[in-house]
Amino acid sequence: MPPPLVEFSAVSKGYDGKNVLPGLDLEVHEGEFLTLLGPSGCGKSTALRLLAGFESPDGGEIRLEGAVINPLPPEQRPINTVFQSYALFPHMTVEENISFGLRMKRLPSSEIRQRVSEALEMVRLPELARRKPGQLSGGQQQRIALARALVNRPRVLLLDESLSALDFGLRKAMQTELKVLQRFVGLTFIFVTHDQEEALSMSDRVAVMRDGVIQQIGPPRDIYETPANAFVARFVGESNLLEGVITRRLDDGRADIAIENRIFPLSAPLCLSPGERVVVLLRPQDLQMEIVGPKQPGEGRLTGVIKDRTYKGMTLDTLIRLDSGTVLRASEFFDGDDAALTPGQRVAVGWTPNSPSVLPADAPF
Amino acid sequence: MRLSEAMLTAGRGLLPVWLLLFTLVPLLMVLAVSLLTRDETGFITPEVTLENYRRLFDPFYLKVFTDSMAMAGLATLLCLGLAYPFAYLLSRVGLAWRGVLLTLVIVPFWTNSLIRIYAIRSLLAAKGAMNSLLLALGLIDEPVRLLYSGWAVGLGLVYVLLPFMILPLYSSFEKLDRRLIEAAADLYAGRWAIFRHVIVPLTAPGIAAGCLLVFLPALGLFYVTDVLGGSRNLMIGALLKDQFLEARDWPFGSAASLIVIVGLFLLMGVYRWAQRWAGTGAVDDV
Repeated sequence: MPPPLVEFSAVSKGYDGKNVLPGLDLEVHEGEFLTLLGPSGCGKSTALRLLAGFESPDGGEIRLEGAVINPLPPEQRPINTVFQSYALFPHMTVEENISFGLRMKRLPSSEIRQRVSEALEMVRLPELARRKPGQLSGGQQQRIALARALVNRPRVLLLDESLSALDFGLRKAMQTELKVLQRFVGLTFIFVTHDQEEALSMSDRVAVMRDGVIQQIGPPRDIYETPANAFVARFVGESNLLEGVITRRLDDGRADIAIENRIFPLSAPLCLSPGERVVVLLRPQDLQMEIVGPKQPGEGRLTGVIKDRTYKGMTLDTLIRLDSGTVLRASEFFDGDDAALTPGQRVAVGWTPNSPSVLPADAPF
Repeated sequence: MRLSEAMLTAGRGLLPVWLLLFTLVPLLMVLAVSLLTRDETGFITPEVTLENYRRLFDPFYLKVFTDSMAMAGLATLLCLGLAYPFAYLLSRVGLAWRGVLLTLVIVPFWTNSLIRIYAIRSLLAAKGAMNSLLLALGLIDEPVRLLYSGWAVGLGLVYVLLPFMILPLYSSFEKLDRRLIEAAADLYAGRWAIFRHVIVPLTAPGIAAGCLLVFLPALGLFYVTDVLGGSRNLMIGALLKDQFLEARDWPFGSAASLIVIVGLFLLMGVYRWAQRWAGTGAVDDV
C-alpha cells in the first residue's frame, strides 16, 4: 500500500504559550476530499497553514508522499491554497493572477497561455481575463482564486474557509461546483470550514476538531449518524442531548439507561458499564409526538408540554418543555395535517426505533 | 441637517471662487509677467516678448536646471533608499515601538527647518563636530572642507526631506495585505520575486507620493543651498529667489517659475498613473 499523500504525525504548534495543536495525527489519501471541521480556534486553519508552509511546526513531522517537508518554504511545496479572502493580487489582471505561479516556475509562455485559458474555461469565466480583481464580484473572485491555484496542478489543494465570504445562494452553488470540479480534476482537496452542512455535503471524509484534537474522522454519514462524542453530535447537525446514567446492561447489546427519571432500554456501546454517565443524542427529525391527557404517564416515552411551533417551510419545528424543564426540539416534515398540536398541549415524545445514540459523557459541554 | 446641507452647498459654491482667486489668478499673473519685459524702475513694462523663455535655454541656466534636477533626483533616491526599509520595518514592529519610531520621525518638524540647516552647518564647519570627531579618531590629520559642497547640500536636503518620504511609504506598507505576500509564496515566488512582483507594485503609490514630496521641495529649498552650498551649487529655488529679490528680474523669474510648475504637473501625472497601475482604485484621494 502506498504511503498516504499527506501525513501529519504528532505535529504540534503553539502561539504565545497557547498550544493550538498539541499533537496532530492525520492521514490524507490521494484524490480525497477531506474537510477539517470545527469551531473557530480549534486549530483547523493552523493545520492548513502548517501544510502550506506559512508556519513551521514546533514538533512532529509533516510528510508529503512519504517525504518530510517540514523545512521546505511554501514556494517549494507542490501545494496551493485558496485563501479565505481570495488574496488576489489587486494590481494584476485576472490573467496575470492566474499565470503567476506558472511564471514563477518559468514555464514556456506558450504553455502558460494555454493552461491559463484552460483554467479560465474550467471556472467558466474566460471573458474576464483582462479585468482586475477589483472589478469582479465575490463569486467571480472566488472562482479566479480557485483557477489561480488549480492551474499549477498541485499535489494538494488547500481551501481555507474559501466559501464563507459568499452569500447563501452563491455558497450553495459553489459547494456543488467545487465538488464536481474536484471529481473532474481528480485532485486531493483539504477544505477547512466551520460550517457543518458544507462539510457534510462536500466531503469524502470529515475530521471534526476541537482544541487542536481530532474528535472523530470518517465519512459524513458516520459523523452524523454515529458521532463519537457529545461535542461531535452537538457540532454536526441539530441535536437534543440528554444526560443519563446506565443502570443495567442487557444481553442484546442494549442497556437500561435512566433519562429524565425514567428507564429506557437503548442500544449502547459495550464499553459502557452500569453506573457510567452517558449522553443520549436524539435528532429532532427522529422524534415523534402524541397528545396525552394530563394524568397519562406516556409509557416508554418522555412527557412534556409544547412550548412553540415554528413553520420552517419544509419542516415544522416544535419546542417541547419536558417535565424536568429540559427543552427538546422536534422537527417534522410539513404535510398540512399536523395542525392538531398547539402550544400548551401535553404530549408524549417517542422516537423511531434505534435512532438514539448513546455516547460517553466524557466531553464537558 | 439642513444647516449642514446649506453649508455644504455654500462650500461647494465657494470652492471654485477660492481656486479662482488664489490659484488661477496668481498663476495667470505669473504667466502674464513672464511674457513682459523687465523695467529698471517699475519692475515690468508692458512690452510683450518671448525673450524670457529664450533666455532659459542659455547654457548657464540650462545647467542650473539640469544640476538642480540631478541634485534633487539624487536626494530623492537617497531618501527612498533610506526610507523604504525603514517604512517596511515600521509597519512590521509592534504598536508600542511603532509609536516611538513614528514620533522620532516627526519630532524634527517641531523645530524650524532653517534652524536645523544651520545646525548641520555647524556640524560640518571646518572646526565643527564632524571634523573634530574625524581628527580625534585619527582618520584625518587636518580639517577637511565638508561645507559649501554638493555633498553638504545633498545631506541637508535628505535630512530635511526624509520624513516626507517615510510617511507616505509607511502608509502604503500599512495597507499592504500580508496575505498577498503569503499568496505569492504559495505560488512559488521566492523573496526577490515577492519583492519585485508584489511589494514594490503595491507600494508604488507610496513611492510615487514620497518621491513627489521630496523631489519638488528639493528643487525649491533655496535656503539649503544658501546655507550649505558654495557659489557653484546654484539650484532652481535659489535662482528663482535671486531673480525676484536680488536681480529684480520679475519677467525672467516668472518664466522660470512657470517651467517649474509645468514640471510639477507632469510629476503629478506620473503619480496618478502609478496609483492607477497599482490598482488601488484610490485615484481620488491625494
